[in-house]
Amino acid sequence: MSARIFTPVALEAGPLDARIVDQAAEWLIRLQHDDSPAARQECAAWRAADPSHELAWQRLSAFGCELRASAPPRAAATLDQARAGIHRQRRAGLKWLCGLGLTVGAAWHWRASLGDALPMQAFADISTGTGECRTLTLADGTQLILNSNSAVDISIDAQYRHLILRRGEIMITTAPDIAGRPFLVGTGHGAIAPVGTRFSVRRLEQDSNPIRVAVFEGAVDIRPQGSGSAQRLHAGKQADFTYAGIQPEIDLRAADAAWTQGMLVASRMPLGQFITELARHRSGLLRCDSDAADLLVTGAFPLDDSDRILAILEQILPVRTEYRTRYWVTLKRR
Amino acid sequence: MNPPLPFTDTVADVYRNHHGWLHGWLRKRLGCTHRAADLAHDTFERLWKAGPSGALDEPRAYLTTIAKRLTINQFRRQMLEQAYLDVLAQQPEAHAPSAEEQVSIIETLHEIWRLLDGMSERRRQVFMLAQLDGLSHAEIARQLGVTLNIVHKEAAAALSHCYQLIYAGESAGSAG
Repeated sequence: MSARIFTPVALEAGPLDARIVDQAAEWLIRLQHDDSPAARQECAAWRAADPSHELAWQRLSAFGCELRASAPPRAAATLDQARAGIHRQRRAGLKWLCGLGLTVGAAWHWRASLGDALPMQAFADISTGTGECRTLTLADGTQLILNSNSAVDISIDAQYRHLILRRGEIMITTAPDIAGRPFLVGTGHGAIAPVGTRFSVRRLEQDSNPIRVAVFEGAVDIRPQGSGSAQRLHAGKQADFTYAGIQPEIDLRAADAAWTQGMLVASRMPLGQFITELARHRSGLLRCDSDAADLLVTGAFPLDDSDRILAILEQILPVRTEYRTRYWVTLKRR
Repeated sequence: MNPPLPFTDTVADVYRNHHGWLHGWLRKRLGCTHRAADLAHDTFERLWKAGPSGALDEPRAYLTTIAKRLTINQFRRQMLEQAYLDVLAQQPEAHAPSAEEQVSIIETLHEIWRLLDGMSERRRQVFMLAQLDGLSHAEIARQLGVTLNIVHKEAAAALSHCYQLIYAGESAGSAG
């Protein structure tokens, strides 16, 4: 075994009946959300009823304390990301993983698809506010990242894995599903079916809100609602589509996924476009005058501090920032 | 099926008879002879510490089980290191843990990961949101789209699960 972080308590006292451990766990959880004197009294009575109760309580409490004391910040996010990394490697067909018949994380998948998902209709609405970015792992192992000001409905049941993009932009890294359930992203303009992949879907803020699909790994099939046929979009490509049809595909830039790392990366990007992108991450009105819109911006900017980005723009471009209020900002040419 | 080896078999015998085979087995799968050699070495070290008892009947099955587990652990650590650096890079405030701190953080995360093994996806999510992210049960219920009662049950079941893993084998007198 590796070095033990979680040390067993009072081992010499011997093993405990699993039912007593379950009861102790239920008490511990109950007191976490019901701190009433009655609950505490009941729990104390249960602990006093038998030495094995008290032992189970002590052991579980010790584990809880150790866990809280030792878990580093952002532990859950790190674990999620590491698991996603394993899924990606497996998909990439890493030789030695396949060769070992390795089921890294597959136990979770297996249970998620057979044990859990069948009785459970997980249906959730998830959204982010302006300036917020959120990463989560779905019940089937798929990783979902929501960009600023985005909303998505998730429905995973025995037959389908179905996301609906309501607002904004999402990045999806699909996980292979043991139950073989089809994965679909609905957009209102039509559906997108990934073929083992990492891709983003964005509802553009222009007239008729076309959908922009960018494929970073694998491929996706786009099926606009108004046209019968699907079109396949491969890795490295991006295309906009509406109900009526799909625009010609264009090449993807590596920087297009930078938002998932909390960055805005521009390479000779017109300031007007840059400000439109930045405005998605900032509350209030952010605009740029038309005579400054053609200035070119190059650089990598952390999205968590948009005031700082504006200050940097003043340094690198002939512009000044006019603050009417914190929520009404205009960039003017100097 | 190989006939069972005589019970006089020792770790040294197992090593003599199967080390070359294990190294080849790992090399074929890992595609790297150095890594295979390291893992074969670690596998026998593990066997040496545990004593040969388990290896007697089916030494190769036993060795490959250990080797697979070591490989998974190694691979998980590698993924954790990568993920940890990524997460660290996303922290708004500059924070640079020392090398020792980093090793200990990766170890802790690895240990937590081990505890998550075998949990259903939903249980795992409840456990992580409650115990690691410190969310309230109401918030977890909202995020996962399940009832509060289910969150209570899953949170308790997750604790029991961890208990069973931490105390597994410890109290069965396996030291003898």
